[in-house]
Amino acid sequence: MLDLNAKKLSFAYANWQVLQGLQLNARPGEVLGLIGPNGVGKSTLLHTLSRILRPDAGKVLLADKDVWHSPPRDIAKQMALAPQRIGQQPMMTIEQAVALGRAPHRGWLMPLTPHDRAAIRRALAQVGLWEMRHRTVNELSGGEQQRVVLGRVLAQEPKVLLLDEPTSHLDLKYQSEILGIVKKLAHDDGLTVVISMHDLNMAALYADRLALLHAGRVIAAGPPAEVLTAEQLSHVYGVPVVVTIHPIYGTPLVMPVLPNES
Amino acid sequence: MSTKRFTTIIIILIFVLAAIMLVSLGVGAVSVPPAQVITILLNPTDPSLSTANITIVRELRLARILLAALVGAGLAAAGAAFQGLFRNPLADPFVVGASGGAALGATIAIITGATWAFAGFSAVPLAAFIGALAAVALVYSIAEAGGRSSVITLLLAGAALSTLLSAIVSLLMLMSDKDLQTTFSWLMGGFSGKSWSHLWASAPYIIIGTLALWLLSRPLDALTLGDDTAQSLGLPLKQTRGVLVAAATLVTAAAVAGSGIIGFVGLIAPHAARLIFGAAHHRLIPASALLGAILLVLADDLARTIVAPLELPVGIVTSILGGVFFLYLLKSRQHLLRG
Repeated sequence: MLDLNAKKLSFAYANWQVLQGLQLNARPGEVLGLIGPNGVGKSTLLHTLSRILRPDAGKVLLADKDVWHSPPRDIAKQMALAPQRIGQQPMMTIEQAVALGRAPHRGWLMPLTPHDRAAIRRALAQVGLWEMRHRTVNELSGGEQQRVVLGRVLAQEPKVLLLDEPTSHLDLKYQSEILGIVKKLAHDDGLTVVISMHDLNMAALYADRLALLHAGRVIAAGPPAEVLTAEQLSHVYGVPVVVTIHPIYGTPLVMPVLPNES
Repeated sequence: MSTKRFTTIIIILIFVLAAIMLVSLGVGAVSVPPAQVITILLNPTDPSLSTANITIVRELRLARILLAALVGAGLAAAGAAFQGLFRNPLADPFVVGASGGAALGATIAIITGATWAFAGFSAVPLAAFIGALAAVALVYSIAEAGGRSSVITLLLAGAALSTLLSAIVSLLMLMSDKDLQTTFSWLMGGFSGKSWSHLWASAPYIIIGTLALWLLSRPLDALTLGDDTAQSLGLPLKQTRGVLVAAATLVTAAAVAGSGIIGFVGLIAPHAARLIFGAAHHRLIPASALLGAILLVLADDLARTIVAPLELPVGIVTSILGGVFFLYLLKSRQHLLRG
């Protein structure tokens, strides 16, 4: 089981400084939610963590080893990313797309082993796509495509799972289902999960800890009740909010406050 | 589609290709019945055969038809690879500038009346081969120069260089006092007068390059899911793109050296193959190659017979038929052409 740490991470696109000395610690057995307004750098952070973007300064440590000191395939065996923008999808079957998750394990030329097949079958079942595995990906709805992406990263059997808004196209039922799966993977199988989320209330329900991003840094990290305070959220999001308590679970419940009409 | 069904259809297509090639051997200015074609191929010493027919089938048409099949297969495989690499349905084997480079090389060789030869290629095809490789190398080095490159940069650089090079070709043709007919018919592409030496010169590059593309099918699959996904699966993007572009360009350059610039086969065959077999490249590449071979052999038959005893450049036939077919596909099955 692997720790994932960001140490003083900085990253800039051309002349836009996105991350500025960012510190982050994700632990095994825990869902860490990344929250913050649009454009604050949640996706950039996830891309940097997953060894796609190289940081200008600072390090990403996977089990205390700099990810840039290992070949990409070794990292891919341990860490998977479900990107948010999935774009135009190829005319591939769901099963073929999910099977690509086995690529780092089997190499680019080897045939599927029984273990590969079992992993693909399990992943398809987990995201509820087993029955329709022969349908082609390009004709699926946005939500179904998002489940294909999740199926692929699950087939990758990672120790560290990075998810970039995996539920943004899903209805309430699948949101709960997917987030439920993710939570189970962390709590039961000991995975390290980092997940960026827009819906603060879902984040409060499903994440064990939250990291609130602002101006290239994590400005608050901890259990949802500590991070989701009206004062901090109003400051970061720039709108007044009120925070109450979920009637069943006692987690924070964030609601907007309409501006005064004068 | 199950593996069994896929294999069955592929075997059927191989038989279709063989049958078409057999019939094609008999078609042309002099027609030879299929039964006699088979005898000529299997038993050329049979006393009932005329020497003229033996020469026509074995020396002239067989090499030409095999070359057409090989070039069609190579262009289609390269087209399938480029469409996957660029995630763009409009990509074809010439997308990264191979045609412009080949055209410039060939034009220079024709205009200067070069007569040298190397490795089985005479001056014009060799100049085309080198021109294609050089143009793609230039496009590739420009596109991959700045840090985090993208396939879009590669695509744009290819388009820009192609336009630039074709302008230079037109300029050279205008300024030259040589007969433009040779250059022009070369630019249109065709198999007229192709013999065994042309086949042997191009075949190794086309076969090796196509097999390399087939071996790269899984990286290609990963790339069609997007750069982020490919990278998160541990694929080194730059190196993979480099190897893919190199293999596809080798195939394209050898095809162009063998037959001039033949459009549309490399665009249409992969689309047709994708409609039948899906976009997973371990199936798409061999299926495209087979369809490409079938298409180009048929197009060459048309080119030889439609205005017999004259011949049309086969590039004209493929562009007209291909263009019409592609527009029809766009109109009627637009939703299927995506991806």
